[in-house]
Amino acid sequence: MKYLSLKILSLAIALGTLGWAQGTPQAAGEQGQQEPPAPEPAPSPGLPFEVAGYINFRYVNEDALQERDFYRDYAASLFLSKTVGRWRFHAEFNADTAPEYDDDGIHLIHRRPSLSVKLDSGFVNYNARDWLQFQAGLLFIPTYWHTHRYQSTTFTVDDPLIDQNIFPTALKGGALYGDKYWGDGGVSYIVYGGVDQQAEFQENTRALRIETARTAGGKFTLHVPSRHFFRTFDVAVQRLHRVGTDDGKPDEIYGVEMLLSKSRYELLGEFAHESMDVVNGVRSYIRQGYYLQPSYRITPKLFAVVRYDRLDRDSRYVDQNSLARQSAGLTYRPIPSISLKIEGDRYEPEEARLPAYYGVTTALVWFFHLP
Amino acid sequence: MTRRQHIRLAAGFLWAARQSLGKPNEDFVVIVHLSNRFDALSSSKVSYLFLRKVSRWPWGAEVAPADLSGTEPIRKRFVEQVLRMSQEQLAELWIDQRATRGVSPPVEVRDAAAAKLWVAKRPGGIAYIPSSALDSTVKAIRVDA
Repeated sequence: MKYLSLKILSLAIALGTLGWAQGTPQAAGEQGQQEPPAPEPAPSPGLPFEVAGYINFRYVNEDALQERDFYRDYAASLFLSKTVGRWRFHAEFNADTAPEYDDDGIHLIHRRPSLSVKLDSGFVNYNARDWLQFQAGLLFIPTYWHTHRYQSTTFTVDDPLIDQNIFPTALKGGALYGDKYWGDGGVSYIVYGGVDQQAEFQENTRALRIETARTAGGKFTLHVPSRHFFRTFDVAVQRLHRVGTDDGKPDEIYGVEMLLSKSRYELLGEFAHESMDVVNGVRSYIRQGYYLQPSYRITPKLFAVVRYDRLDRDSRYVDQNSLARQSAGLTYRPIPSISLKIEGDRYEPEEARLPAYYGVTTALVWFFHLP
Repeated sequence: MTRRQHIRLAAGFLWAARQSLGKPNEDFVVIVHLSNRFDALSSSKVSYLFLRKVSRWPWGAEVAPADLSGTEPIRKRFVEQVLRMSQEQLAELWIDQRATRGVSPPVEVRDAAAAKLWVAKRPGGIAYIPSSALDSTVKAIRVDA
């Protein structure tokens, strides 16, 4: 109920800010008085803001150990954006019929009885300088994967196991962020605070519960200059402190990310660690995981990707709550807006105490934008 | 047809072929508004401007990049040499930026004349055109490696 009310509130904020953006064209005059702002690409006739989105169809092998069922996942995302001078408004809506978690608490659980539509993010952004910008609304916690997790741009169908399982998914609050570049390098930072939300799998009921916490965190990214030897060489660290609104117990989370790309090669990796229920400097248990994902562009339209990822959900029961996965896949993009993906996965549950099992996942994604 | 006429015909074909092949190899020049204070920029800086990582010139003018249509052969050279990526990678980057930040790619213009018009009208304008199309309505800047 609390999650529902949060969604409704966020939806109201997003729609309100979009409406306000349309109603205040004079805001454009607030930016540099020297000249009129250069117009953005014109919205299509009849649309007061830019619209983009993607439609996604997935066919997934159920990864429960004793089950070999398949399920189909239909999903659509819609992005609404509006830029007025230094202000930008952006909202993301997602609709899907997919189940979200399994009975390992990691991947899938029961199919939703009906279509789910929710606002995943909605914010207003003010650009004072490129190195000093402000955002407020419903924001994603800025881990690399969750920020760039869109099926049109990822090489894999499934998200890494650590996604949304260690760092919370989103927060309702504000953020200061910015970038500064020099040469072919630079730095980016973000400092954020608010009330986060995270879906927590309940072992006893085998159901999801949305937990909220007061959160403050920050992330620093170094865009390492390499004299153009690498196309991208980014290293980032993130730290987050959260205090549960229900139990008042604090959690400490940190993460490290790396993105390296050169020519046809790319290497992406993330590590995250959470100390749970820290009281007097002593943690109750830890949760941590990582993934490493090399990929290779075989041709301009065809990619190969492999990934190793691992999640230990609870250090107290590491033999029962760990899952490792090896994935290998191909992505074909006949044009950049269409992706066809196929991926094979091998799961190693419970520290390989149980036999490995396998899954196959396919996806068809179409990205669109107006105009 | 005499032998001389055959040679002339063959030479004509060669010239036509060279003309048609020559266009993709034509140099491009990066253009800005006449009031722009820069005479030269590094390729990294030009890249940041086109990729919308930098939104304002140092004197406050809003950066307004224009991109040539994807069918223009000179676009491929600009994207590879200055942005240091392929056209496919650039298209993927803009899909990502639309989704993650709500940021749109530069406005797409049809040809060099439209690019010059775009830049001439906007103090923060920046675009690229074939060097043969350069005229006094815009200012060319040097792009250093």
